Amino acid sequence: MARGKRRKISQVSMDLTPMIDVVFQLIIFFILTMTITTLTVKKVELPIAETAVEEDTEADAYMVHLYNASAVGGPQGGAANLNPDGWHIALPNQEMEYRTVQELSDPLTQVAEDYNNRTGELSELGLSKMILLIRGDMRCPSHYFSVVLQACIAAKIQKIRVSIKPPRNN
Amino acid sequence: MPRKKPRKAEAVEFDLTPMIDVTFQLLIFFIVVMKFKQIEQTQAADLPTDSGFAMPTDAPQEAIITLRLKWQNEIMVYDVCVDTAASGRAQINAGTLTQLMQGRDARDGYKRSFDELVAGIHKVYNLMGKQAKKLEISYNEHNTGATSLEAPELTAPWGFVTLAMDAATQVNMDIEEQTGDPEKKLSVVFKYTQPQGNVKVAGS
Repeated sequence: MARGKRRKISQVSMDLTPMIDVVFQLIIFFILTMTITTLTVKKVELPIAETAVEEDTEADAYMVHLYNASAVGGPQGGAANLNPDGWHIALPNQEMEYRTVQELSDPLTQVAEDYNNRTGELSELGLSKMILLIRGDMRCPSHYFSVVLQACIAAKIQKIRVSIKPPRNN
Repeated sequence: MPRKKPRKAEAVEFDLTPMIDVTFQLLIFFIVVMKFKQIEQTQAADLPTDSGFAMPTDAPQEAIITLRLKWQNEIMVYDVCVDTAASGRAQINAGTLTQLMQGRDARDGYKRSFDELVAGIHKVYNLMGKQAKKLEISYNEHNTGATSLEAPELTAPWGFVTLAMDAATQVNMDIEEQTGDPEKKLSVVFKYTQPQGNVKVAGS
């Protein structure tokens, strides 16, 4: 019987060049799209609106949150939590929880004055040109919106914007 | 003199393995730290340019449409009316906050309430002969968290106030489109009743 030929095991080599190319493409994509920001935005369930416009106010707007740290997010936790103890008004870079007009008026007045001194701009009626952006959770008692309005009047802040999210398309 | 040997060109090889390792490290870093930003838009709610609050009787009652937010037993009912009895009214049941937020798509519950509220405001506006000048969004400001026995109408969730603002904006857009005159738009004010019974009005 003829002795069977031994099969030579052939080596398989992979060309990794395309993989390296794709990886570099991904890295360049991430580097170009990345924006480094500090976390001043709190997680809130924004209200929905049909008619809102996309305004570039975030860059210089003063952000005020109507916030509850223990509120569960999303539709699953959507039941209104009207216990006022959990909800409060939060200002940027401040730990204090504001609940009344008296507490909120002074810091807002200070912020408006700092803005006026920095920009040197005032409206004809002596009102600040600072934009105040309210990022309110849709479950928050609207009483706190009234508190912010009254504090803005005391601080002579006239321009107010309300942050919303557009409805998702079907 | 001995002849010099010609130098043989040597092949230089790079080991790319460390470079691939670093590249993957970078890639994993970017994937882990990346967070997608939620799309946000804004609505204007500018305050009046005159000083302080306006008295509730600032304008003739015939020219004011009142949009009352009645929040009771966790259900929102919008009551669109004019204080003079001659004009009609419209009531829109917007349901619970959960209904507003839930659904296969949050837009379903919101769009229905939004369309009904816009239609209700238009109905009252037309019944007034299109002479209204102001739209008051009126809500209670109870902040005590009391039970329904002590404060049957607690303050409405913020999501329903923004729905009212949204409907007011749509009505103004419709009026401007129909008349071609921006001066005909309704000025929107917020009117809220405090626990002490004081009524205050603020708005653009």
